[in-house]
Amino acid sequence: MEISNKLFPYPVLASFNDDYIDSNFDVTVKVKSTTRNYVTFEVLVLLENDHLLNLIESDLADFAIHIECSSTSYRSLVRFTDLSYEFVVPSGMINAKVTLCPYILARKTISDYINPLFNLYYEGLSFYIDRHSIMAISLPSELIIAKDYDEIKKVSSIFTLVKDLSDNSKDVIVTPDDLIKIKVPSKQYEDFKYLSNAQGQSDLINAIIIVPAIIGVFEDRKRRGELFVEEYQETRWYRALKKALSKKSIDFESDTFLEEDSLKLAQILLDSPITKAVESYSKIFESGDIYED
Amino acid sequence: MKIKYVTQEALDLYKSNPMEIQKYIIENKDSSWTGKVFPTNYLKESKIEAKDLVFIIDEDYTSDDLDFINAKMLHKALSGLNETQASNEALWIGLALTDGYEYLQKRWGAEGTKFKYRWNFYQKGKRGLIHHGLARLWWLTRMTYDQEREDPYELTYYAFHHQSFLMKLAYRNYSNSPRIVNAILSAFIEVERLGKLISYDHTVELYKEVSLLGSVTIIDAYSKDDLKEIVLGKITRIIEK
Repeated sequence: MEISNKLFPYPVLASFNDDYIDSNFDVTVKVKSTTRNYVTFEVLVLLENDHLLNLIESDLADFAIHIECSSTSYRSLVRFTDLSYEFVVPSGMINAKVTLCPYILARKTISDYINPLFNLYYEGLSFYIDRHSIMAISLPSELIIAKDYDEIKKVSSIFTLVKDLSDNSKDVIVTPDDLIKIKVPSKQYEDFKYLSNAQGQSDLINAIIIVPAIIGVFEDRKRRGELFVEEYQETRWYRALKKALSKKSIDFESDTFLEEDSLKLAQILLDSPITKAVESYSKIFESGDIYED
Repeated sequence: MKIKYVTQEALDLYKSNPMEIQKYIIENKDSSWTGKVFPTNYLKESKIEAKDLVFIIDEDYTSDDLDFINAKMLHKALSGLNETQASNEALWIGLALTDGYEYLQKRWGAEGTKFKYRWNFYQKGKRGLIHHGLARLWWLTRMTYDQEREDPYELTYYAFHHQSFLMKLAYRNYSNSPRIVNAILSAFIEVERLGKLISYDHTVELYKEVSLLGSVTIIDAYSKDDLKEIVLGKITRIIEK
């Protein structure tokens, strides 16, 4: 629920306006744990406004978190009055990106609402606040629910080989989906598959297919910036790549990523596949497994 | 029986070769071609139990009736399915290439854009799910099922027999809340029981007003009864305007 820049007919405590002075409402929501059955969320509320705190203590208002998950169409609202709070959502109901919007809501109608910390231009005014109305908004949190049993361990596993059924296909085509698809002509599909699975041949496939594909991904990230992040953030390949890069102390989502050398990064992530491929190819050649006509 | 998914390899093949797959579907009234195109064992058994999964394709029924009967059957047969599982394309494509194949052929066919919208997921998330010929049956029933009613599928029946009202509603973000959908459909049924006729334009206006209700308040904070009363008041006023 995109709420910033919304106009209200009464003052609302939020970071994007100046309706209040010397006040703050900032809510942190984190995933505490994820199991097969439940995802537990942990909420920490910072509220600097005594009058609003009093309204909560006297049951006229409360804290609320609006939860939405676009991939499973899950939507619900939890309400509470404590400054630290935990709630659970069944794991099966949410997946990938979950958006959590924190609010203070009126529990009951407040017919003449005045707050001593209203900005000066509201001085002397009182407001009618209908029940369930928004009285304060904190910035939403977007959390990715990473279910461990669905996690990709190896960078090369974010790619998947797909057979091109078209009769005229000659080229390899790379398309990002939940995993990155490498579409290969049907004539060569079995060869590609054999090499990907063959003992000791993975470096060859990494060098000739995966390295260029991953460089393409990095270059796309550099070209498209934030748009790229928004589009792919929920995919499995993006999450796996982000995690693998963070293990090398590189933040895939920061601007400093733009300065990184794509070829160098690809080689670090795949553990020097080009030199290893040349080495293993030479060994095969020396052992006489490959003959010239 | 356990429901079957297509493997990742088969899913990639299906989604990456739309023109070729569409041609196979158009040319084949049954799904025996899949054995030649997909790798051996392209279906894998899930842990999800599916009881009495039998699609009805009797031509004497209207398409609304067919949708409702099969939606109810699918919802009952897949009673153990959760939202994450039901968002999995591999499940619906697996079903489309097996038990649901004939229903999809009869109900939608695969010519033109039908393949893109009804046999595939044209967009990520909800929009793709409410258009796919089989996924929509489950998802729209999930939106409208009300276990507190004597007939829990009463709203589902109404919805599938007013599909233009239903689809317009499904596009609204608040339709993810079963409570809000329930209040809206209950109000429609109640108003029609009083002999008043609801048009598509009335529903469009109502949906806008419900959105406005959420401009300064959070709609989800209202109780089911409050919502029903509010919506009933709004739709009555709109009709009588």
